[in-house]
Amino acid sequence: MTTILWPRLPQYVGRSLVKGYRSMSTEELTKQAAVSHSEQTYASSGGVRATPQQLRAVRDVIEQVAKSHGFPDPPTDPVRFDRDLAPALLDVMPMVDGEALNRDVWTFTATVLAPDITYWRFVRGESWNLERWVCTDRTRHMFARLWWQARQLTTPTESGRDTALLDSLSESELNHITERTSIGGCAPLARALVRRLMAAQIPGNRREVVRNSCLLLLRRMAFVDPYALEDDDLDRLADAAISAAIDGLSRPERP
Amino acid sequence: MTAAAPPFVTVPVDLVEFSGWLTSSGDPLPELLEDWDYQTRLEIHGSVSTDLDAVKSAALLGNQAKLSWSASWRNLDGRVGGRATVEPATGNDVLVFTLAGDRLGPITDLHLRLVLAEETPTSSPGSAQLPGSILWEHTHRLITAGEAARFPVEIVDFESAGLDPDASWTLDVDDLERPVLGGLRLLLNSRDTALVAAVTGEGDANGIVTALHERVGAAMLDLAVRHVDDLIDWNGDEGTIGASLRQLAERADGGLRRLAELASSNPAQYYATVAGIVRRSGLGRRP
Repeated sequence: MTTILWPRLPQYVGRSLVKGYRSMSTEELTKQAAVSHSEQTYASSGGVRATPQQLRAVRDVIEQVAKSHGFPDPPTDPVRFDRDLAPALLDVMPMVDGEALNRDVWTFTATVLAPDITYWRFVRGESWNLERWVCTDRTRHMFARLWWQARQLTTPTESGRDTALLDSLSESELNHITERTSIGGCAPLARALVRRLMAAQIPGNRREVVRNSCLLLLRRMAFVDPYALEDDDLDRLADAAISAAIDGLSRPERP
Repeated sequence: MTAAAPPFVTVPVDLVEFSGWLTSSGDPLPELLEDWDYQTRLEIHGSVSTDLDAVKSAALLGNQAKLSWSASWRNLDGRVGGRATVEPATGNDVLVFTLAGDRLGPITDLHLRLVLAEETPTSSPGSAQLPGSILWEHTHRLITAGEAARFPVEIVDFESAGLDPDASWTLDVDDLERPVLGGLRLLLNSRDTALVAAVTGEGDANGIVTALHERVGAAMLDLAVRHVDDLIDWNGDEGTIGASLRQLAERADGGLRRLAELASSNPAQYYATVAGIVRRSGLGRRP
């Protein structure tokens, strides 16, 4: 399979673009959207550079999903938009890990290819969060986080893509798992945790149980190698963390 | 970097003999992969030998305990990893696997671990019980040659980038958790043609590069001082910007904390100390 190399935009250029975007409306930002930038670069690795048509296809998919959630009017359900875009982005933007780990690829996507959609999804009033635009952390960036969520928690099927694991999580639950990269970076472990959370009977505060399960698993990961384990063992590890988290919630607080 | 001590007895390092990772030609796997690209497939092998009875005894495990070798990789940038191979440990084992170039980031740690293969209910107190418990570990760092493998230098039009057009250079620093080799960039102003020519080797260096190195080193120490609270208890991985900044700053007498105090209490002495640290680190001009 041919490796596609996606355009990269240095962070300082991304930051400069975002600075200029602050005075623009959604409509004006749509006019800024482009499939190239004079400062873009590519990996110096073997592969074929993404064509303008491929970049246009990525832009079209992002815009199409946004429109189905109200774009350019404010998003009706931003989290549902994320869930719908994640697998679509993974499919329309095939990338090897090395490309997807490169932050400049994502800075290009947010600040050049789809600045209007980034603005529409995240900017509320004067509240601009630069890390949604300029990628410094793949778990926090507008598009990087969605691509990686789909990469780690969905699986291709004959009829498309199984998104049950991803769909089962609230935004906060998903963040607890993906932003703790010792869990989110290990797909078999992340999948086992979500699988077992789906099966668990959780009384009370589910968000707190997910949070504490992640913390307990993280402590285990300091001395347990998740890559050595098969799914059954990973499920047992996840079950133990979830049970302990549930027990911890039901324990009365110390006086 | 601080690491949590495991709640069980591990295996002394010298109980395991590991050949190190070797390439298909039999050469040791280098740290820097010169000709790497996304299509590279690394055929890797290595042999491990150990006295399993001695290992189990040292780890307080019963004779029936089953152990495995687990080889895995983990990209430092993004912390995404995967399994390379898992094999039962029999005493003398050869591990063979292929590492696909398209799974590697700029810096990847290749881990070899001796782990408990399955739960052992009859094990002693203080012994590992959970499957996957790491009893012994070896890490090999891989740096893929390419645009992100080194401390990159970019030549930029400062004016159009929104930087001071009369400046010659600046450090573009990502967050402290990023690998230093991919997360720090030295931006040179294209307008400073003498500096650009000197750095790219197309002109007379004439002391310019030496001076640049010295000032970049000082800028890194300034950065360490600014992030003193984050760096004092630095918990991030080795090889990150934070770890490197701290390592550099700890060369000051009294370490990073003392350097930070000096920066606010006695700026003149601070700059002299900074120059000394930078020069002792091999950057800049030696008196």
